[in-house]
Amino acid sequence: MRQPFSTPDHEAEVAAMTIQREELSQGEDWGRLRELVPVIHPKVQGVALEGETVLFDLRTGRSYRLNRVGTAIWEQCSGTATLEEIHRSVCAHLNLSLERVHDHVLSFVAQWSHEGLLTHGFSAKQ
Amino acid sequence: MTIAVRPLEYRFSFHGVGLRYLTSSPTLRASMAEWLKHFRGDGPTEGVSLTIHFEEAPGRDAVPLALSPAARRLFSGTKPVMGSAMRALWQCDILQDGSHLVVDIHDQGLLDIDGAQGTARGYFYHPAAMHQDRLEGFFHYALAELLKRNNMFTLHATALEYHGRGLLILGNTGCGKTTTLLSLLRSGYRYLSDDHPVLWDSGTRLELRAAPMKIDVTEQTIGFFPELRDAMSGLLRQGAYKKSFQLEDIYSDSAGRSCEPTMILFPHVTHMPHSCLEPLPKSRALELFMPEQSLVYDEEAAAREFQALSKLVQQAACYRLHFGQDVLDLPQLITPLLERH
Repeated sequence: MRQPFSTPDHEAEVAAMTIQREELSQGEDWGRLRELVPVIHPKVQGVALEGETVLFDLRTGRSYRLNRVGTAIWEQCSGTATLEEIHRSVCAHLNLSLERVHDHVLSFVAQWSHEGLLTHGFSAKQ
Repeated sequence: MTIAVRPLEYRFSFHGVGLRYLTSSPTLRASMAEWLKHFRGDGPTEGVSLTIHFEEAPGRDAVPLALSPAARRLFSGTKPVMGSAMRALWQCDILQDGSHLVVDIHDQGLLDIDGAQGTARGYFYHPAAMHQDRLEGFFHYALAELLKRNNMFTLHATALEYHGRGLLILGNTGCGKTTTLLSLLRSGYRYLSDDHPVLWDSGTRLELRAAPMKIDVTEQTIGFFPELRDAMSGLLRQGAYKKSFQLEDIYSDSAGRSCEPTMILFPHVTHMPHSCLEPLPKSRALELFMPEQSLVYDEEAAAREFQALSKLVQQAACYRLHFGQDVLDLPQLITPLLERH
């Protein structure tokens, strides 16, 4: 991941929307977080290439490359699926066990949230 | 106050985009003349006109630019100037003020680029004391920012054309870009640019366009090629860090103009006896294309540039070139693959 420079405005925005990695990695939080619906920030561009994805954040100029697992999770962050649905969908798509993908989902979503790539729309699905 | 009020104006066409260069400074005129000669009488323009106006100024106080309270700092530190001979870093502050991008080069000068108006003003405090490469670098920086609004994106790469197929060579200084370029030029390839060709995205197709410039070479590179080793005195000129020559002085009739991008090479030096090519994942290729510190001051233009680069790696075959010692044999390795795509 590149070391970028970011503007104070963006840093404040990210701080406001971040769900801390520690919070997401604690097992007891899964029950609360599983109903959350991640949404890609509209200022983040992405292109899928041979199963992987490159993201570009228009606010910061940062770019990111996602592997196949990250891509499968990212593609589900359209604002319609809960984390639990994403988790199950990615397992089925990649033919991996629920346990194996669980940490990936939490880790990726925490990191993307921390970077501001997902909007604050971690809102409970109606 | 020595800023001239009646500068001389030079009109050019850069691949159909009208370009005016104004200056009343003989130093600033001479420093750009060599590059701009490639585009004189380049054909009709498409109604779009860009203006770059460089002048001498005694100091920051004489620059007629007042930043608004809304101006925000995008960057502060050191950046490399565009151009292969300009690896030295320059101290600068880069600010956004509305549609203006202001590059304050401290004791050397200031660039004020207004992308919305298609104009760039440069003020240089002691241009006669600055190396020509450095002045050219600031000109290219301003031009690259203005061209983005016309869907023309400057790539930091070497570019050649071979029977209508475009070859890009991407990498940092010392990875073998120019050595590969020269090896291919001797084998019938045509030259588009040594360091910043332009990628034009029409919306339906991509085109690689020439941006000719002098070719910078190290002593090691010169040693590979007899025509450079034995070049007549005066053809190779000492630059800030490397020697350089004009394409037509050594490789006459090798200038290309535009073509469709077909293949991208990402070389790195291995010191092995033989070079080889290895397919590179397109996501990795795009990641390598993205500037390490993209300076986004126009989000729409930045989005279009990202889309154009995405299309480029999707369209072109991407290879890692493990660059060995068989420099003169590179065409036998690369050309058959290029012809296949």
